Amino acid sequence: MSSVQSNVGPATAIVPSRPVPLTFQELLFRLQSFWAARGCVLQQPYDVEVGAGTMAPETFLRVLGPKPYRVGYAQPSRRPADGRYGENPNRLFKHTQFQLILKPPPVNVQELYLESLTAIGIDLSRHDIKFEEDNWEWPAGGAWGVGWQVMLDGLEITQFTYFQQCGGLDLDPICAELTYGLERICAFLQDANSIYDIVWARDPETSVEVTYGDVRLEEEVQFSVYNFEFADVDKLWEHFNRYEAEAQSLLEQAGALLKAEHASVTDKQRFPLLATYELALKCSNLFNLLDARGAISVTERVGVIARIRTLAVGVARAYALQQIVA
Amino acid sequence: MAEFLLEIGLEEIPARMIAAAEAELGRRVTELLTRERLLDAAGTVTTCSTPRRLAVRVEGLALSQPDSQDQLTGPSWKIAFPNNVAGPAAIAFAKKAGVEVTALVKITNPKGEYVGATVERKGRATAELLAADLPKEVLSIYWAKNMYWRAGKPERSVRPVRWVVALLDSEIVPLEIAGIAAGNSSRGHRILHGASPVIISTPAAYLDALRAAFVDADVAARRHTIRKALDHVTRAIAETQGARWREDHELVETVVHLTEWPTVLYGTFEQEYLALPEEVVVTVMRDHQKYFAVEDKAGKLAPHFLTVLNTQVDEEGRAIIRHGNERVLRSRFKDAQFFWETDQRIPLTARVEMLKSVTFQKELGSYAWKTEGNLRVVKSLAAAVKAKGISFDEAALVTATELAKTDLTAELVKEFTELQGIIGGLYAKAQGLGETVAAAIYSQYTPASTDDAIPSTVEGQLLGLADRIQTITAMFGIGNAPTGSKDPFALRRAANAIIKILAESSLPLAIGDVVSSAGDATDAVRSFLAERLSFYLKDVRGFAYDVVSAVLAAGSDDVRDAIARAEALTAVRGSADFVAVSAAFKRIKNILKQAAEKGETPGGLTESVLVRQEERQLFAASASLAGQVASLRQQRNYTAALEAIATLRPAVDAFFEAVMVMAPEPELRAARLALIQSVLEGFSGVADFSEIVVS
Repeated sequence: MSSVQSNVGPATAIVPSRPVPLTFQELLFRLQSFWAARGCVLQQPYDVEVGAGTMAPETFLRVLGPKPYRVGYAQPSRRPADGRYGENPNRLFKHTQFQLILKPPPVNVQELYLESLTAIGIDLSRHDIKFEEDNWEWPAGGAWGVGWQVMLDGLEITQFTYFQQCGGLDLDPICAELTYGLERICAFLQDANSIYDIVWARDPETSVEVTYGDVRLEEEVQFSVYNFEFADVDKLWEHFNRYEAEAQSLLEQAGALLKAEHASVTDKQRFPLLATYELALKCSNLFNLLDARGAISVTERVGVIARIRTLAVGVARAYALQQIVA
Repeated sequence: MAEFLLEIGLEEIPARMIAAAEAELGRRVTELLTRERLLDAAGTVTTCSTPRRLAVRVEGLALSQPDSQDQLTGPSWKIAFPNNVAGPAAIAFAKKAGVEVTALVKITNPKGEYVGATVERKGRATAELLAADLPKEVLSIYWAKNMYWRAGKPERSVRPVRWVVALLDSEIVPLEIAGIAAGNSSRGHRILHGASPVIISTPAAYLDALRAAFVDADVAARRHTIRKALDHVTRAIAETQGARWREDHELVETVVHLTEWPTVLYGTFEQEYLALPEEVVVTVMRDHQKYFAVEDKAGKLAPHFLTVLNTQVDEEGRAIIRHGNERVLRSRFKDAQFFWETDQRIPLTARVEMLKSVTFQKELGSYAWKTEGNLRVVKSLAAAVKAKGISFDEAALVTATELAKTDLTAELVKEFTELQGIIGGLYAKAQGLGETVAAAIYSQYTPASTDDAIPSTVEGQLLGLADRIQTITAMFGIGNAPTGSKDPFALRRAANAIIKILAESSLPLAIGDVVSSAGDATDAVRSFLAERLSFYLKDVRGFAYDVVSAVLAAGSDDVRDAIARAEALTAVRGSADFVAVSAAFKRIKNILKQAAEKGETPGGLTESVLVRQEERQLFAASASLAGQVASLRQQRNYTAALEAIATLRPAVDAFFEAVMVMAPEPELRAARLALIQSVLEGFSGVADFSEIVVS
């Protein structure tokens, strides 16, 4: 080791007394390797727009049924109404959640979580950490759980949930869902006053830094413009209705097929419920866009959420049934 | 005598639930030990808790139950021992009692001769009993929100149970809770102590062993530590002379239950954020960050905060934690400041139109609809109050009502929903709408609870009444009245506030005036408010339930009058004369009821029909008293009225001593019924005494 270091030459000379905080990408690497070393599958972000990591099928559908599973993935999460044209240092249209599902949760899940904080460079002996009650709920998905917001020196850095129900179905076993807010944690580690100042990557040879702003600011601006100004409300409704109609039709077919006694197991297993779920996710994102455009009155809101719920809960129930058939 | 310790180790319990659960654990253990005769007369049960544990310690515990003898009574001797020979019944009874047939004896009791058996019961060992019975007590503790954690869902609790300590003196009690076998190994502070077990040698060593592992499980001690530390750290704030932390009892309790090893740190924020309204600054700190506010000598908010840590750190750690907390607070203040400034671009008056797109209730309409409704109600109430000669600024009241809900469209209220109304009031003031308008908007949601104060201005009181009665009436209209424990629209709280305003203001309004101001009054709304008045008198004012029933039976429309009558009744109810008169009234009521069931009705009351001296005397006494009582009632001198009624006792007593109401002669009977009815009616105006429970 020492010979390798001495080869680096000048690099050793500039080692500061305190370790350099992780870059945004290093933060993700560390979390990924930490959890991979504890038996988690590392998945890629889901490639359909979602509002939160929970909505990706790796969580929403995998938590159903008895099969044990451990997975972690970074999920870009879109919340059109939260866009601020890149002008607010703390708010984003799209933020990144590192989402972790441990099904069933190990008995030392909290201790593992605290170890993961150490792994990303937080010296717990010099911080104040609290688990404060915070229950989580996604009504449109018929999903809820109890848990905590994890507070680090007064900052909420993780949502820790024991998932109890999904798609209106009781989970057995339950799972632990850990959602790390990556931008927030990174800004904290780097003591950055603005998310856009976060160092995303640092060239190990030249020490040239690429910031979060370099990578994402343009996207925040343009999507804020689209979401708030350009998105065509009529078209959005049209898309919504079409996706909904297709999802609805698939759900009806699934319902008939999964209940049919004469249908073959293969036909039941290959029925595209995963595709049906994507259509439901499309509706959810379109709803968020319509909301950002101010096109949904508060009166309508409840009704539209109920329509999305019908789809999401419908898929979850059919999927649970499909798993039993298999 | 032995000592016992039970500690249930859980993942972090929600702070708001700990105190009640700890008390319940103590109660359940005490009841179990008392029921099982295990607790010495001088025995004590004490409890403690932290976010990660509930514990109970018992001193003066027997190591086993005393042996006991039970006397069992069996079948009749004659049947069991026909001809004094044991028959099948005797054999069956002996078997059931677990004794030999020869041990059966004859016992004689007032009902006759029976078979008896003496059963010796060996007391159970305490350890065995606790192992069998304690787990279900622990798992029966009430939690507002439960979860499953183990596969197969064998039990539910607030959070997963992770360890259990159960010691009888130094011996482990072999019990199991939620799949965890009890041991003698506890856990210390997550960070300061780490993962190594904390061995508890005996129940008496528990608190000290935990203290050595950076856990103070004694709640009162933690509270004391926190208060002392808050004082101490505040004194260290050099920048503000005479700084004091702002007392906040509720927040102290919250942080007591969020920490195992509390220390306190102060932080500072930029002076510029003090330009935000104090309510906003305090809410951000308190509700969102659990920080205590600091004020200067004059009581003005100072640019500091105090945070209670669940750890103990070195100087460098303090600097890091302070910096982190300051960073979070700054960004929250920045948000608040941004919203405050953004909101000022659209004054409240320009937001009235925007209320059309904010739903009040989907079957009823928007907040624009709600505002129109409130305006109608408030105008009707204003007219009623004005007619009784109360002066107030009616124009300001109308403006306040028009603008009351507009802050729902403000960004700051969307961010800090707990400040609705307050923000509206602050904006109204900032936008020059006048003190009266601002104050009414500001206090429209007070009283928020039964121990909150009512709005201090007539305009605020009227707006508060109008807003709530409009909501209640509209919700009842679409079938959303509360049922049982379900009250999703918090209508009971709204009605409680109406009662409280009527009780504690000097508005000349009765419940009926308020109900009819909201349009066609339904009996349902009326009786709903009457029920809340009864709640208010009992639970807020603390009147005995029978006093409340008696008072409300005589009228439940005028709230302040009902309170005055309840006070008077409470004052006299103990006197012997009054007790006797109450008993007589109850008797009168029963006689009249029974008579009515037989189709007997009181006739005309003519003195000449009455034949006995006693009934003539009652007639005379009640006639002379009636006028006096009526005039005392008129003056609302209820204590004197009740005292006067109590003087009726000799006449009433003599009447019932000597006179049979249900006389055989129909005419006399009808006259006597008429007499007692007139007594009942004449003197039940203050309260229906027949409701009074006489011990």
